[in-house]
Amino acid sequence: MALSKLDLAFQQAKTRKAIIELLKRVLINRLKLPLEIDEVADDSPLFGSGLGLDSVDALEIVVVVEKEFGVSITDDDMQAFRSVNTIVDFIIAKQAEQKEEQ
Amino acid sequence: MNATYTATRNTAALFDFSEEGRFYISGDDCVPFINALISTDLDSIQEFTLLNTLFLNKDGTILAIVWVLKDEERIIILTEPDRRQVVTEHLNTHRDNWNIEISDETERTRCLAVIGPQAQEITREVADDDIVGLSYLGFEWNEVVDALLCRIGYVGEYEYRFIVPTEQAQSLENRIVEKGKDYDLEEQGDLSVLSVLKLEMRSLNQQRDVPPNVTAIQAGLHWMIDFRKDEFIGRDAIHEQKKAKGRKLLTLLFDGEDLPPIPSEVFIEEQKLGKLVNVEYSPTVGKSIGLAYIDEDLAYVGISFYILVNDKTLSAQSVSAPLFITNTVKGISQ
Repeated sequence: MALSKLDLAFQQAKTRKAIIELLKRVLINRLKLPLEIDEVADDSPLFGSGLGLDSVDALEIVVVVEKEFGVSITDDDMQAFRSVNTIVDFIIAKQAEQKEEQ
Repeated sequence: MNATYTATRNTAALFDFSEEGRFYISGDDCVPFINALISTDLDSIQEFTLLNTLFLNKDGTILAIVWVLKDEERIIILTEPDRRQVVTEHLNTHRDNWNIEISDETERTRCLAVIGPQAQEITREVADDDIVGLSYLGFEWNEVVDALLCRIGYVGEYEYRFIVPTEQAQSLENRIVEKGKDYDLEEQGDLSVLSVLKLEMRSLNQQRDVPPNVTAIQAGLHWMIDFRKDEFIGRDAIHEQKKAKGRKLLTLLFDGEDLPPIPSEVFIEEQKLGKLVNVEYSPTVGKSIGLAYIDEDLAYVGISFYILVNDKTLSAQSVSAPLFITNTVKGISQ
């Protein structure tokens, strides 16, 4: 039986939440941020006035995203890394792209 | 398209922020006094830098979103115009036993801001080449124009703010306008455009985006809180609320250009799941965008919602913020 729109929305939210939590966990560990998962909002700016990350941290993010999520990142892609949510968008789009290519 | 919007996203616009509150706090205890009130740690920043932070109520709701500037002898607080009175009361309520002086400088100063991808070039012409060394979230006294120059920013573009004694403001404004001619500066920035400029970057306007009963956690302002700080007003509530939010603020991208009324209920099927608190048409995106508080379990990007306006259904999808990469950020990244 097909899922109702509401059930589908809950399922989408659950999938997204799992990726977000994994990304937050690896970012906190890798960047040694003095934060817990529920202390980072999904749309918090990563750089500048937000979490205060810098260009060195940006390179760490590339390494950790490539390793944990199996996607490759170019210099141009880096512009999209503005918040946890925009990184998750990137991961989901890249993983879908890679699936199509297989 | 509004000329101020076009200029801010493509060249630069001059805004008059003089209606915003400007408080100067001096005295031996100025740093610990303000540190006891804000949700981030003033001791963690160097002199001549600034913080975007919160004055919280004990229950974790927001009294005011503020900018705090720290120099070698005083603290300066910048507030939205509508928060000036509550911040005055808040500072006075808590000032006992501190060796401080509080001065509301709002009437004695003006604040002019140049915002846009060309703002740095214009500010260089106005205030000398040295300003290129002024980092984001830094400020300095600029001797060329005799004004406090701050590099702030919440619309994703370069933003330079001049805080200047009222009697010198007109000549500074004339100078900015004159130097800005070569850069297509929009001379009289329309303040109403800030609403959509901020919404596109998910920078919140407290009056519009944060109803009084909403907590800082629900509004997603975690990054304005130092969770490791031992003491500040609202700390205990914040640590409770981060575990169970109730509703969370999400950015919605509508399918078209219609602007539903504010507030509006947000639905999936026939279930009310949230409330739309702000909506604007975004010229860059070409669609309406909004902010809505959505039930926590569904407050994630990629979910399709709808809003009923009379008998018409307006579809919207939750999206990530910021909504796009600005010309300033593209320039910095290259």
